[in-house]
Amino acid sequence: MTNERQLIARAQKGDTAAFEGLVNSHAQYVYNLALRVVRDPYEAEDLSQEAFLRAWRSLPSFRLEAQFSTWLYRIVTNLCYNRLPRLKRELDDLTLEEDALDLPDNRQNMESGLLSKEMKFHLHKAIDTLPQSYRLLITLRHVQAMSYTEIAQATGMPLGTVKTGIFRARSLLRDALQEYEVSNA
Amino acid sequence: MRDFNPQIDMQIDLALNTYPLAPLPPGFIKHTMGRILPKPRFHLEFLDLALPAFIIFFVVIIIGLGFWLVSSLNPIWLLELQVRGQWFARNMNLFPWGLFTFVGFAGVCIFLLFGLGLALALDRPIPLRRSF
Repeated sequence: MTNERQLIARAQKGDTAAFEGLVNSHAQYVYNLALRVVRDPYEAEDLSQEAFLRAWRSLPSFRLEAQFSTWLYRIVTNLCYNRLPRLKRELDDLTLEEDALDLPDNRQNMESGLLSKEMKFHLHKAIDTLPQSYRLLITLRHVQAMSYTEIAQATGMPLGTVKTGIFRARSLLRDALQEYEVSNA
Repeated sequence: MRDFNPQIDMQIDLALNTYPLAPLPPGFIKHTMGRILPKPRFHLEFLDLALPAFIIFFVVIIIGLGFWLVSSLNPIWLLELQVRGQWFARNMNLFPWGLFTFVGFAGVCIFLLFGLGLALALDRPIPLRRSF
């Protein structure tokens, strides 16, 4: 992380090699976040490149005490909102769910034996079919391993909306899993 | 009320955490940095000045040589040239103009191809694409 701070500080002074180091370490996550939301590899590539371009231009105003990845994902999310107006509407329209508000913010380490290959494949397919707003939240939560607060910062959404979105996404995945178990019983 | 089965929740977590990351498209970093790095500013190089200077010099020499030849010609030769010119004007329709046009056009094409070959050999952008 110290290394990242040094790279950011150098990039803020206009060092393109330092910025290339930052691009190298974040490119795959940025690209995958865009890909999960827009679902088109070419669109995702263009969007990710645009995000890095904007990050480079706004880097002088970035405060070093903030989390660089959260700031970067905020740029990606804003670009997604611009290109997919429905995405912002979907998130804005989420009505708060009481059960979602007491979701614990911890992640568990699980044994992979709990999930068969077929079940995993079925769940991955179910993730792909989630509404784009849920895909965005789920990706930030599980692929980028962000806390609910960080997701709220990255999406510009209230914490309750973030928790509700993730809660509903998980409910849909739970339904998909139960459906799979019934069909394979 | 929530009636979650912890095992199902764990399975969902596992599926979410093992969702594979797509590989980056080829050349992604290079293309991204290509959009970030400032484009080199256009500036004139030696050949940009030397080539037009050579062409102007060559044209001036040819025109000067023509004037010098006409002014230093023997008056009898000059008279003969005038006679030939009059004969040419009278018999213009006898000449194969189609062939002349073709030869001229072929000459221009060969000149352009030579220029293009030279531009590529020097690995420089084709002059038509350059903006001043």
